[in-house]
Amino acid sequence: MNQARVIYHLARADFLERVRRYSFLIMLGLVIFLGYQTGIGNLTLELGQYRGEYNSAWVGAMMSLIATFFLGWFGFYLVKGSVARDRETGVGQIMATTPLTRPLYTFGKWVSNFSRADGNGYRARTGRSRYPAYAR
Amino acid sequence: MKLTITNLGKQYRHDVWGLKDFSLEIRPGILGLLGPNGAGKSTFMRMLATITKPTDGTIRWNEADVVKSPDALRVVLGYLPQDFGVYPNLNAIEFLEYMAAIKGLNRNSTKKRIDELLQVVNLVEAAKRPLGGYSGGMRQRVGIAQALLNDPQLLIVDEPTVGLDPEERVRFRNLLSDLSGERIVILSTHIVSDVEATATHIVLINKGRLLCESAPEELLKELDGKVWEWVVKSEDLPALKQKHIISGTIRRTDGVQVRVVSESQPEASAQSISPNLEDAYLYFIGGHA
Repeated sequence: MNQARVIYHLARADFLERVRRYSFLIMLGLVIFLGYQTGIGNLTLELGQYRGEYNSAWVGAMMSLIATFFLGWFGFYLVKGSVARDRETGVGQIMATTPLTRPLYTFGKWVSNFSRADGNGYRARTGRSRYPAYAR
Repeated sequence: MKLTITNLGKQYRHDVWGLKDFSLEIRPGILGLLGPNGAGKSTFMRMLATITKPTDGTIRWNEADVVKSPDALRVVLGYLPQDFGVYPNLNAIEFLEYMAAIKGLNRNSTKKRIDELLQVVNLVEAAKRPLGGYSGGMRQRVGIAQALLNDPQLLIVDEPTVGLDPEERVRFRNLLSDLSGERIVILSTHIVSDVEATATHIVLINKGRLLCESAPEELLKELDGKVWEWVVKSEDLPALKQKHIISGTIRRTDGVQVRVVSESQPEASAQSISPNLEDAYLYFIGGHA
């Protein structure tokens, strides 16, 4: 069994399944909105009475920090339920009849979760989509 | 090629056995596993498919112990579960590519195999539509396609025709017949006509126990002289149902033509007729064996 191929397809199927949902579009809009609000200065990060100087380094760092902060809150809802879905849909039963190992399965799911959360974080920081063609 | 099951048992709670003392040797051909709902068919299938482990007994694929080393069987196994589900936002091609990778198929053979199977299950035109929009029958056909991806030597299909329309059901039966030969196909169902049309061997199961195992012809032979037909008045039908196993009724202008399974002639006017598998099923499941 080609393990890299298995991980790629596990992550790809999980990723495509989730990013094609309406809930993902809503989350996408929210993240872009937060990124934009940070970019135009409506959302700022301050330490007491101090704030960073508005140059490219500080704005970039601030957007990353804010995006990461909100993703920590909402990101859970983005990635949760991945294993439960396999159980509920019955796909997990079929997987159980294949030579797929648990570590490989878990790693594939992790790659999918990572790519999705990372994609949203990227979007929040840049306002651009890294995956232009997946939303239907 | 053989699958040997010895004293297989599955205990769910202290006093509840889903399956008990089940022994069977299965060779290439189509094995029809018949039994009422809750008989233990799915429990048996799930153990064969290496999803659950038995409490007692052994399962051997050729000489390999499947309970200890399930991968020996998994590489040659195709399984269609009773409650087959899909990722609703993937299309059939994406879903089958996913399943093929999990089953260990390489990239070169996958595309060709998926194209072949989409034709076999008649889903070429719908192949790029999201699975969430498929009818129950279409999803079931995707399930059949995924079970066949690795050209399995052991194919286990659990209630495969549930949700299929008559045309799809016939198509599926023909597909199963075409697939048999040098492979073992285990078909579990409570729909006798599915088994009648395809099975080369039949196993009857009830309350977790194996009731009988034989070729369809032998099963029918046991019913010779035990199936009767005659016409009764409509008002006599409820009393007759209490007394005998009725395997069929047809309304007629002069009453109801009944088909009864009985050891002896139930009525002077009853004519002995040829048995079918439904008669045999009712006879054995009804506890008359």
